[in-house]
Amino acid sequence: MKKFAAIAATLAMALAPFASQAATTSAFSPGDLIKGSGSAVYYFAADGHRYVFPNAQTYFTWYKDFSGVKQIPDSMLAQLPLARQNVTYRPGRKMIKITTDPSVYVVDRGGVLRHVGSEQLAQTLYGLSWKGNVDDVADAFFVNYKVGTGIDTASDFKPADVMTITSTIAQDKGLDDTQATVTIGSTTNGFVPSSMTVKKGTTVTWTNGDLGSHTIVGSGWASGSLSTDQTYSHTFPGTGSFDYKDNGSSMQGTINVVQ
Amino acid sequence: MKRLFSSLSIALLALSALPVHAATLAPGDLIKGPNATVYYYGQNGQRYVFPTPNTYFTWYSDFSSVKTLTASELADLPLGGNATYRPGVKLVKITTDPKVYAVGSHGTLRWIETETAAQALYGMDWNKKVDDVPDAFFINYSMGPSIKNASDFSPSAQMDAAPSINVDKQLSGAPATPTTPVTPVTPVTPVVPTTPTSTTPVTPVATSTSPLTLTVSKTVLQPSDVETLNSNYTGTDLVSKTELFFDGSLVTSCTAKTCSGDALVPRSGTKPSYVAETHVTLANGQVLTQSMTMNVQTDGSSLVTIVPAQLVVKSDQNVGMTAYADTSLAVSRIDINVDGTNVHACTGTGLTCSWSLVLTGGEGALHPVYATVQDSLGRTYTSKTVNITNSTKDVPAVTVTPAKTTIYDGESVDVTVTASSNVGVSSIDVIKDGVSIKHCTSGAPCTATTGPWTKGSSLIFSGNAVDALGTTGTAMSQQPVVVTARP
Repeated sequence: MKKFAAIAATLAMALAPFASQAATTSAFSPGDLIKGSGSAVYYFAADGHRYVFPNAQTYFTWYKDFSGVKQIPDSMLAQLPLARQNVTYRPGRKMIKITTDPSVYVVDRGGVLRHVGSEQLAQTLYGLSWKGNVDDVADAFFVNYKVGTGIDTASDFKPADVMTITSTIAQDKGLDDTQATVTIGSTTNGFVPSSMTVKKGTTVTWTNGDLGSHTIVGSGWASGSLSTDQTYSHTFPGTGSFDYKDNGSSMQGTINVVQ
Repeated sequence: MKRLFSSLSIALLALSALPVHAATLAPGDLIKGPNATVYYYGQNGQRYVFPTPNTYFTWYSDFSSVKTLTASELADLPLGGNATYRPGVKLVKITTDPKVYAVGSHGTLRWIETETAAQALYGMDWNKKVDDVPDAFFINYSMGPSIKNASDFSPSAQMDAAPSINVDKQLSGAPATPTTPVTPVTPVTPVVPTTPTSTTPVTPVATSTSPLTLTVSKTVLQPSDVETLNSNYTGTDLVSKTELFFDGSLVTSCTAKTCSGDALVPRSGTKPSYVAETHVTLANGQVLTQSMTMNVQTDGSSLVTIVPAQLVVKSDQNVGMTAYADTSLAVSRIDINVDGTNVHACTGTGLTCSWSLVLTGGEGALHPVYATVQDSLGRTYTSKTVNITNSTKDVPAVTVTPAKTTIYDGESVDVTVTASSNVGVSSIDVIKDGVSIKHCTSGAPCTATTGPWTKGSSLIFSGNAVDALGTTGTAMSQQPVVVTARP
């Protein structure tokens, strides 16, 4: 007699009880954490994609809590494509091992796992209580990582330094922070996000995620007709608040450019 | 309250399984360690994870054949990745995206654009066959072309073409390393996949802080395409070397700040996607890299063709059909499928496979036929589906004969259609791509000059004949006319 049971382990984190009825916003920017009415939180990146946190441990290597998570309308969330890779552990923060493999790894930039050769080395890097700094990663999430070269001496890897130079998920993924992406949604969803704040000199790319064609027009620039999946880019060299609209519908959006 | 979802794992309580030794394992076995999780042991010696129970049950109906290993035996087997849904079995959607996808070969998701198509493929209760895939497992899949009409996809053909995870993942007995080692670059720069949603060329952005840009001539590839890679370093440091890689193989090496090279996408056995990389070594020893991922649109229909002798056949009469594989395929077997059933398999017959059978049905009954070719590495290529129609009346016998089977680029070819009927033939048409290119109003052979044709194409002609009673017979040319480059 064999029995099959699916274990769906979910971690519930009690936060502000009013979070579920929080007002939604359509204004968010690259680097923001976003969610819909569901529970999952995503990292919205410069490439216009949303990045999934495969589990809570991964999230907490990057963030202390859920403050700053913006709730956006579900229809807008659905318009944002999922990234082709998931968020991985913040480099240097913790060591990990795979459930069914006894090897212990440090996490280097870009989700690269580097095997820690000995217990002494683990102690040197993470202290006597290094075992408390090892997380078990489920087999199914191993594909999120790549295995790099191992670590033989403590000088090969300095956890604090690696953490310092990788303070954001965008840095970890090697995303260009002078880029930002707006998805042209359906006429009911409008631009996703409809309002975005970027730094001076950022190139904003509009990607048409709608089945119909759209032409976006700003002050002194216009895209020409964009059919599905076509893109248009415009660089904002000076600060200010710049409105733009879709020719032929009531869709409009704003790019706020700051120093 | 907020929560993040955590992993789903398959738990199994095996009460009677006896431990086996790794030495007795065979590729394709299901294995588990002392814990509950079940893995697929692949042809390449690696173990594959079932990320959700639903994934497991698209491949297996129960746990009857799972072998148990010790913890250390299991740990010795490297993890290869995650299993994806068996093609054709179920529909899936991503938790936070309302689109419904069919699953094609190698874990490609094919968006079904209309409810009509979903109903035609998966029945009236198609919406009961949709599984939710958690966001975190979306990366296990790649995006394929969308399904506009039911004819764009066949669930049964997809299932048949993927009898095992080994076949679906194209795992082979060779060591699981690329044929050419990738030049090691430390630290490894994460590959940022450029989602090939745009059909316009990716242009370098002048304001980018990265001084290194990589551009490619095509962001979506097709087999036998030539891909041009361009690398441009705009920084001030001296460049000692620029190397361009395609699919892990060195394309070219330059000593300048700009570098350009061509790579050929293999005509057969292509991967779902290829990675282009540029590695720039500066004079100070620093290495900069950029990479892009290009998806490949694979379509076996250009490599495999099936040609029935008659497209309209009287019920209870014999009809022959021949499958042709492209010369670029290393054919190990060819299968002919009629009405969703494998009716004949050829091994050792080279690039063709012929079979004939009786098709029974009422007036207008359709019999879909297609061929699949399996190559020596176990990859499967599927032809387009052709329908044979039943008639209750005697149908004129039609033959379509091109004057040549190979022509050069820019040449024309004569195509002759002949027909016979015991009541007399009243008209004959020579047809290309559903369009009549010549109409003859007698029973005499009808010849049309077609072309000129351009190289790279493979031409199939067909012909119609109407007899004195108004019954139409149709046939296709028995062998494609191949247009080749001039010597």
